[in-house]
Amino acid sequence: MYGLYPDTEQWRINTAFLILFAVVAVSFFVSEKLKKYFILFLVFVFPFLGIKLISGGSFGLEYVESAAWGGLSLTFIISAFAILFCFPIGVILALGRRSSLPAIKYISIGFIELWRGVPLITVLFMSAVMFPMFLPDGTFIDKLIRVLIAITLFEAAYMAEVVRGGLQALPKGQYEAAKSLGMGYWRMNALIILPQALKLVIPGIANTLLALVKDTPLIFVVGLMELAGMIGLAKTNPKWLGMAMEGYVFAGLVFWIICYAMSRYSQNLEKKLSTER
Amino acid sequence: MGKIIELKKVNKWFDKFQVLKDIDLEVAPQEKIVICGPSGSGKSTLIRCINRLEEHQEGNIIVDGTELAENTKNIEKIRAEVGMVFQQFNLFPHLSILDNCTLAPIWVKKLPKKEAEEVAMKNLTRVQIDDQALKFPGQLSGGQQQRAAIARALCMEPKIMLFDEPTSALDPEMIKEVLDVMVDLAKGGMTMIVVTHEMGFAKEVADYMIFMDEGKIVERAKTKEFFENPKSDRTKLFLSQIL
Ligand SMILES: Nc1ncnc2c1ncn2[C@@H]1O[C@H](COP(=O)(O)OP(=O)(O)OP(=O)(O)O)[C@@H](O)[C@H]1O
Ligand SMILES: [Mg+2]
Repeated sequence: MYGLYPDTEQWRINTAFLILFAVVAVSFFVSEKLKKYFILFLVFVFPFLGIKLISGGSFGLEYVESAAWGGLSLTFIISAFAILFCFPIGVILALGRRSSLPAIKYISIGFIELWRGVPLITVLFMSAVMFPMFLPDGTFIDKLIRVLIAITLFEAAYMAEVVRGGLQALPKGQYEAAKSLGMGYWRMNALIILPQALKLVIPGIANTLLALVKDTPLIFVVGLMELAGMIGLAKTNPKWLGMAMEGYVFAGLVFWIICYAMSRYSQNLEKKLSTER
Repeated sequence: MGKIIELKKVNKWFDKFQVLKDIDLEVAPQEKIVICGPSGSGKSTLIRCINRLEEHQEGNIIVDGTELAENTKNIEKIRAEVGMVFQQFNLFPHLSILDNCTLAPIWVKKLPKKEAEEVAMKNLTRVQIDDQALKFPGQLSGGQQQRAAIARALCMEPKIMLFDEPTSALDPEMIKEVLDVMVDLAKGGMTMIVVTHEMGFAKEVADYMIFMDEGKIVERAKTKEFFENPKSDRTKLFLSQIL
């Protein structure tokens, strides 16, 4: 559950997740207007609050280095961060790829094709092992953060292509109608194009995000142990000897529950947003 | 009278293919102009140049005193005061009819939401679909959708309205309801440029007729003269086919 996180400090992870669940649960019951603030809090405040709480180092909390984080909580942390950040980056890349400005267009294409063309494992190794060598002496970026950034950018490239599919499916008339009403590039995309394009590709987005969650076990190659990795470790512990089978079945089940929940959510979203056609 | 639209020696190419050839055109405020001509003659391209959905390569286009050129800010300002109605309606399918009408006034003209809704309801009433305001475009008939699209354009309180074959995608029984709205608009004093083959409508409202062929304005004449006494043979042939 908590990996190698010190036993005495586990309440901090518990608190972080309790806050998360409490906020999400409450947000289901409040009015639409308040919901906006809850979502803003979840997206902009909570990630930093949660990380602070778990990593410590201030407010009298003992510092726990990220190498000691692990287990299911790490699965959640990585998935949540990557999902949160890969989505907007992916949207921006998708728009960039269709930009009429050649510089932006080719940078976007280059970025997307670069990240799409490399296996995730290679990316992880690069971020964990090779990247620090290029940093000037004395600078240090936490391994977990490097890995998070790597996963986020990797998934953002896939997200960009999914979103681009949606953009391409929209008839030209939608762009022309928006322009003819005096909307500039950003308003047109934010109000007319993206709402329709994203709705069209909800299944594709869900697919990408599910793949992301299921890719998190790969981080074991750089020594970070999320749920599945932790079980690999636990089975060598004499206390758990002979339980490997149960452990992996458990891990599989947990992943299945997470992914099934996400898939149901995307289906509901699709239903809720379908207005016409 | 001053001119609200002026085109001087406008030339436009799609790659090597020249779509518009030396187009000169002047429109005074409140004038109604109907453009007709065979398919592919450049009618759509011409009116799309007026709100710069297409860019011209040579000549000048001046709309309400502003020359259309590279400067984006001007172009958005011009587009906000030039309404356009498309053959395919192009309503925003993810928004209700009311939201279709209030979106641009709120986000482009910065109108408060309540005021924008009042303006929208006024225009929806004018095109007689105020009872459909909360429906989505997909739930409306073609004629209702096109009237909604007209209302949406009117909500920006434009000085000029451009129509590109607004009734060509409609079943015959719905054409009249849309034309009625356009006649009403014309009588209200709107400056209008209409591409259409509805010659009954043209005879009723147009001040001038323009006949285009192969990217050129072949004939420009007062409506009565155009129908009774066309000068060019090309126009005569076209009229004999269409009437
Ligand atoms: N984006 C484009 N790229 C290349 N050629 C184009 C483009 N748009 C139009 N054309 C060509 O320009 C010519 C004029 O097109 P336009 O749509 O203005 O004609 P039109 O008079 O409106 O015809 P219709 O009555 O069929 O609508 C046509 O030959 C068309 O094939
Ligand atoms: Mg046309």
